[in-house]
Amino acid sequence: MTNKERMLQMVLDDKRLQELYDYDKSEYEDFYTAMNSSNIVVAVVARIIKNLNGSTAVSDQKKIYLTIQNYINDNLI
Amino acid sequence: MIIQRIEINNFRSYYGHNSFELTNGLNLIIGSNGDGKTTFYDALDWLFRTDDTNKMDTKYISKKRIEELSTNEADDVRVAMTYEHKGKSKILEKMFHFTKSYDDEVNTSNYTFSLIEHDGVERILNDGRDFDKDLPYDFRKFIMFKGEDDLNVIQSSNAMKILVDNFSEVREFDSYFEFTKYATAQAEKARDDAQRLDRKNEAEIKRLNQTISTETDILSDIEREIENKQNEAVNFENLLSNIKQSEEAAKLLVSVNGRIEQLSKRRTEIKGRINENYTINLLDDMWILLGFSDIAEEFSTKVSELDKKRRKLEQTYLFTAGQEKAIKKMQTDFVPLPVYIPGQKIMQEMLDEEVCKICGRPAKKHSEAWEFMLHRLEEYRDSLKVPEEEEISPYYLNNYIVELQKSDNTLNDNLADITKLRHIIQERIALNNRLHNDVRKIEASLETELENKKRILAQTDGLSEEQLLANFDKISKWMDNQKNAENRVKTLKSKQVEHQIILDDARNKLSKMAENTPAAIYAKIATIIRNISDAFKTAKEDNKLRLIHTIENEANLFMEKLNTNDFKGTIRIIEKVNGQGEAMLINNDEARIFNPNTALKTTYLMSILFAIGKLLSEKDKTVFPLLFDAPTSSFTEAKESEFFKEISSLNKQVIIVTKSFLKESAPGEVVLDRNRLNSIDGSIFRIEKKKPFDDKKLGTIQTIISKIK
Amino acid sequence: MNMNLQNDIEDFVSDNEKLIDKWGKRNPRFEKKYEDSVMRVLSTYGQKVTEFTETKGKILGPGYEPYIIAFFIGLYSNKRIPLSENTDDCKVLGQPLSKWGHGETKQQKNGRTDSSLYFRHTYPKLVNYIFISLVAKTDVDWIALDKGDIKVSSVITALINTMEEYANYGFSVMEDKLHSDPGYFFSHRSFLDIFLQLTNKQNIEEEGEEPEDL
Repeated sequence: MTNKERMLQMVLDDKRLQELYDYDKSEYEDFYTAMNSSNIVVAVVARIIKNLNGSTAVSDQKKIYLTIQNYINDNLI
Repeated sequence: MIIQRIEINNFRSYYGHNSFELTNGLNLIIGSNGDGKTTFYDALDWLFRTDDTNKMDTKYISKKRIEELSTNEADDVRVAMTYEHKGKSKILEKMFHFTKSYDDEVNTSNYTFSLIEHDGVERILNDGRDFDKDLPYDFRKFIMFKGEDDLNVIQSSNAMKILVDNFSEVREFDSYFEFTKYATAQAEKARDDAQRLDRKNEAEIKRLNQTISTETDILSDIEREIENKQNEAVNFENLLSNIKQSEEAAKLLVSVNGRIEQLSKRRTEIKGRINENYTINLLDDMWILLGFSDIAEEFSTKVSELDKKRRKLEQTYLFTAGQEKAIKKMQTDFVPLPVYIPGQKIMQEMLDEEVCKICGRPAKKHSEAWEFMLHRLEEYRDSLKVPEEEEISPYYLNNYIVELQKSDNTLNDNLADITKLRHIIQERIALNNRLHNDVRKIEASLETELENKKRILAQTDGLSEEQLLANFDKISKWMDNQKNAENRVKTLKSKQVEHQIILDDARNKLSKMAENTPAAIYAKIATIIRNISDAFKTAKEDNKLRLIHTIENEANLFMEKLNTNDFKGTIRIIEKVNGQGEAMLINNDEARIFNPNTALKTTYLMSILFAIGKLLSEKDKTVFPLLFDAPTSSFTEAKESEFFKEISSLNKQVIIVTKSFLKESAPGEVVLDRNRLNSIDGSIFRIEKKKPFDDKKLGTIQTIISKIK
Repeated sequence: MNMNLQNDIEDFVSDNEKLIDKWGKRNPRFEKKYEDSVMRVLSTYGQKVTEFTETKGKILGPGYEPYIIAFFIGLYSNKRIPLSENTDDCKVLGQPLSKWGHGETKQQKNGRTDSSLYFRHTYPKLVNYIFISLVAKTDVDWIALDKGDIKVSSVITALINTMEEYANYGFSVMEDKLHSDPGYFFSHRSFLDIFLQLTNKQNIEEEGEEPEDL
């Protein structure tokens, strides 16, 4: 398991998050599944982790923020 | 990484060429103080330095080599390590040139630091700093330990951070926090901007935003104060934990001191009652008369005899003298009344009645017949009178014997006391003996208590009695301080909760207000991101805990192996508020063992290091050696042998530099204890100063390496 | 009947005086050789008043104290040694017998008393017992004395003689002991033990007579 996958697991394992947004482990078995999940939060977390690559550059932050903002916007009905 | 050879040339006491051929297992380098143990460590330390500091220095050069050099002659200082790492064989080498100039000055030059790789036939030369790739700088902290004090790595300030950063399952959390912070800020800004367009609820929105701002500030302050107070509590806890180790000892000390004082008092009191001035008693209390009874009897007998004799003689004398006197008297003028004259009484009557009772004739007073009667009566009476005595002269002029008799009476009165003397004396002697016995018993108890005291003080890590007792006083003060800080934290935390509720409430209200407005979506995004941010935070904490538990478990496994028959505890590692780690032992009742003996402490610390070493290996898919400098100085011989035996069975390269296994064969002479070494599995080296040497002349010092096994 | 009126002036003048008091005026003698070997070792005999510190080391106080001990050693051993006939060999003790045990010794010039008297008290009655023992052990024609046939002074001299001879024996015993073991008398039991031993023989005889079982 890669570092990213481990990170994904760890964050989405959070009980409170699961309760708030109503998803379970099956949604994030691996990166592919997570990215394509119908659950917005799962998909957002996956995108953050996938794209950040440990960068702290504002430009990267901005880019990723816009990505998820749009994603939420598009998928939140 | 497995170290195969270490070469040290002309580095301090390692004159000329020296090398250690090491095995993949236990390697012991045995030497006494000053033989080159520390230098070995320092040489490696110098070799591994990749930060370009301390490159060349004349202090590294072997004095003996310098002295040998003639003018303009040169040589090198070189330390090299041949090792195998991830399938490749490499040599790390650091060296520099030195020459001696005209004026005996030493000059250094040509510093090189290289990492040489052998790839088949090829020889690839890299910068020595590339060594960091093979053994990262951070790892070195967990691999090389100069002394027993270094073993407590967990406690060093950023050890936890390094461990977490390097070995926890997930790295680079920080960047995610940065991101979520940014994202949250962005989302909330967008929301606020959108909400500003909402004229209708402008006032309420403004109020809510005000609340949010205020509460955020308050929470921030609270958080800061919590951190401060927690640090304070931790500080006191640290202070206390140092002292608490001695609290037990201090308590014992106080009670031992109490007993000692009591015993001393009693001893003084009893000693005061001992009165053995027998010589004085002989005189002052007249004990010297204890044998006087016989003499008293002699005296009494003598005196009563004398008295008897005296009286007898006197009586005899008086009797004789009296008799003589009586005879004399008889021979003188005693005139008995003639028969025909009536007795005195009658005569007196006749005179009184003035009548003669014989012839019946009246005899008038002063008549011739009357005068005749009177005259006769007077004559008769005269003759009866005892003439004024010539006193019988006394028989005795002196009454000394009487005096003696009186003395005898007095003596008899006191005789009872004299006969009692022997008994009194014996009783006194017996009493004194009892008192002496009591004193002896007390002194034995005192000895015991003093021994106890010594033992207590011996185990207090060098604290003096005064310090120990002073610490004891501090404990309650510090405990109060700690408690106060902790209580404050509690109060603050509940305040925190309160304010968080207010904040969340305001936020929620704000979000709600955003509903059905264009701001709604931004509010939702903000909330989602905020929640995701919290999840990252939790994940980080869990991550850390998981790492710590992993280390704990591994360490406990090692501890089992290393500590076989001895007392066991469980190793627990905690992270303190200030980020520092702390390793401790706890017993079955979950209570912290505050004062493990040094050997036990060393064992559990080393277990942790072995555990971390295992982590390193698993992480990097490669092993790393461990280098210790004499961690077993506090072990008994038996424990030591056992310890090394266990280590050699760990299947790990461990290099231990030590002064164990040396025994004194003659005063000042030490030799290897070969018997004990026979049972050790591994390579054994002896380093010692070449003889003859003079400690004052550094130029005579040279370390010699001999391979024993 | 012999009325001897040729008494000494003393006897005549102090006619009412008791024998013991007359005796008390005398100072017994001892052999000089025991001065250094015994007296000075054990007591403050011969010390000047100013030698305050010296007194602390002595077991006994004034010089008559070793004399008393020597006397009783002789008395209980029932052994006497006549004094040397050479008067140069003999010396007289400073204090008359009546003062023995009264504790009036060496008052220092500044009024302080001899430190050896600390923790001690007086024993003025002891000399009475000494007197009694002398009477018991001396052959005197007491009757003749009371009759006035012999002088009081001669009787007293005889008593003193007895005392001196017993003491003389005692001194020799003490000297021997000090010689063979100089530290002997510094044990607090040494004198007591001597007397316990000496008087034990008496006891053994007494104890030998067990009461008969009824």
